[in-house]
Amino acid sequence: MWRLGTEISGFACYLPPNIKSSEETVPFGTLPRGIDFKRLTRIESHHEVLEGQGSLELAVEAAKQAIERSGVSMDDIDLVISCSVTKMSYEFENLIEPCLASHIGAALRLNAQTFDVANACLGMVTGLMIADRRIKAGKIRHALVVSGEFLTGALYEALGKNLLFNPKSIASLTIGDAGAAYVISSCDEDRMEFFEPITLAQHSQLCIGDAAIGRPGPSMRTSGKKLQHAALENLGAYFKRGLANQAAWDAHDHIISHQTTPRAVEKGAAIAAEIWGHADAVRSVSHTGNTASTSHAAVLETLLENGELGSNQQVYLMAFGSGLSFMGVSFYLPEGVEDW
Amino acid sequence: MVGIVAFRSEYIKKKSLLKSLTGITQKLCNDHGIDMQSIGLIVHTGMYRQNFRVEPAFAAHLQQALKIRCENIGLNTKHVFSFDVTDGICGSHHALETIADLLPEMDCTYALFTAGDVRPTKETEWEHDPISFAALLSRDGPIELLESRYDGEHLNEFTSSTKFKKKHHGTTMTSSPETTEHRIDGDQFTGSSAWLSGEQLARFMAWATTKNGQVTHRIKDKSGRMSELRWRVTGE
Repeated sequence: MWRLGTEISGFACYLPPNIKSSEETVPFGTLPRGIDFKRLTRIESHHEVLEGQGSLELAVEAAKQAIERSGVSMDDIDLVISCSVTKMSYEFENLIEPCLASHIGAALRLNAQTFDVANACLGMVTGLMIADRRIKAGKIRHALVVSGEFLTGALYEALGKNLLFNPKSIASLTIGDAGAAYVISSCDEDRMEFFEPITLAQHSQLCIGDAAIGRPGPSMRTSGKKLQHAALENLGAYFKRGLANQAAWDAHDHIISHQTTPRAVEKGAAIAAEIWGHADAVRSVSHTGNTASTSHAAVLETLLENGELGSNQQVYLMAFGSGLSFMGVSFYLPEGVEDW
Repeated sequence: MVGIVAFRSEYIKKKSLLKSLTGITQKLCNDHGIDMQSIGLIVHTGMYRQNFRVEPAFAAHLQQALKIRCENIGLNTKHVFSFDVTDGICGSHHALETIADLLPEMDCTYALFTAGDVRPTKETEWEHDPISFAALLSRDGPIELLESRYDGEHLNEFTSSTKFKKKHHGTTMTSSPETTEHRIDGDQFTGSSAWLSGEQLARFMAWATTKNGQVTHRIKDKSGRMSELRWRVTGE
């Protein structure tokens, strides 16, 4: 039967149990001019892959749990979209073909269409929007939108640089590894709303991720201040265009921005508070670092562990990605989420 | 439904992929009297990017190079959404289907689809002579995308990856690739598994536009997976 609505029926975030404190990774004296990394970013720690884990393994761990929580049978998943920025094994083998989604599908023994979306940290929300449209078109019933971000190779590449002369490497110190997955399903009522996707490509050169030069692994070069300024400069207008009124803002129980740093989330919350009078529902975590496309799921998982999520609560994900891309999505949490 | 309004391709040769796609898109718009600012969605596909770049999406760089709606967000400003869809040489099919899914809901007239690859570094093992391909799609383009079909049941062990070493990024293959030769059977065009995305589309469209009626583009990749797009071509 063709059902016109969509819902998030399951989600999960997998954080490998290898925790590195900020003091351990970026001790005082690492940043130039006596700047204390932890004070600057408010990142307490991040997670790193265990030996043998790469993007695929992180994604599969999260996917298994999201599917189990959703109650959807593996046989009923018609589409897998992988949205990872990184497609890298533990040994820095960068996947060329076939897509990472096909490897994830094979690992889970799914018989589904598979492809990858590349849209930096906006990847998972882009994947959710594509899946939403396919479900609403009656083409598929359930989709797995998944990502495995093995990023910390770029963190250690940055630590090998003289940061005084390579300031574009500093943002790489904020990253951490994680896997995330959402199951999006057809349902009778529409429980998801996507807001306008926008790419401000005049800023497309501000964050570049590619192969490192002169050492194995990946690297990332970010004009951090310019990128943050561009995002914050446009955030207020984005909120005003998308959310119809104060009631639409107030209706959300949890507002989760892309987690670059807790400090940056605070700045975004201040802009929201200027417009809507408060930012009470804005959530942030300090134990994961910036896990790229998986960062919203990392916050959701933390809220779940803390018992802060309840059935039918309304969540707004505000996603940003280098490009510079913006997209918001609002959805209701599934019935029974508190029992997961 | 959506359809292709116009398309163009060229061998990239010594150009950068960005320069090639920027050039053919500009020519495409000029030749067909299309205002580039009426493009609201850009989706790119390809396997290889300069120095194995993974972010941002190539489509964002293309949007910037074409100067399409590159302004800050205001209450009434119009914008573009740009991202990449990839899946080896089958990426073009997923990307086109994604445009077909998204464009009808977007506040714009055209979507830009591009495909192309570039030798990532001078040290990368490389045996391709890639073609860049650009197409403009609208809700009523004459080369109408009708349906898609995917079959991953025969997925084999083949995987191609590149080890990120200090300098020489060598290609590793886990097993021998499955090869498919180009052939035409009636209304079905099967692309060679050796063709990259740009070449797949360029050769198929050149053939399809000599036809009138329904035609199918089939791609079977080196890992044994198959994708098909069925089109309706309305002859001149």
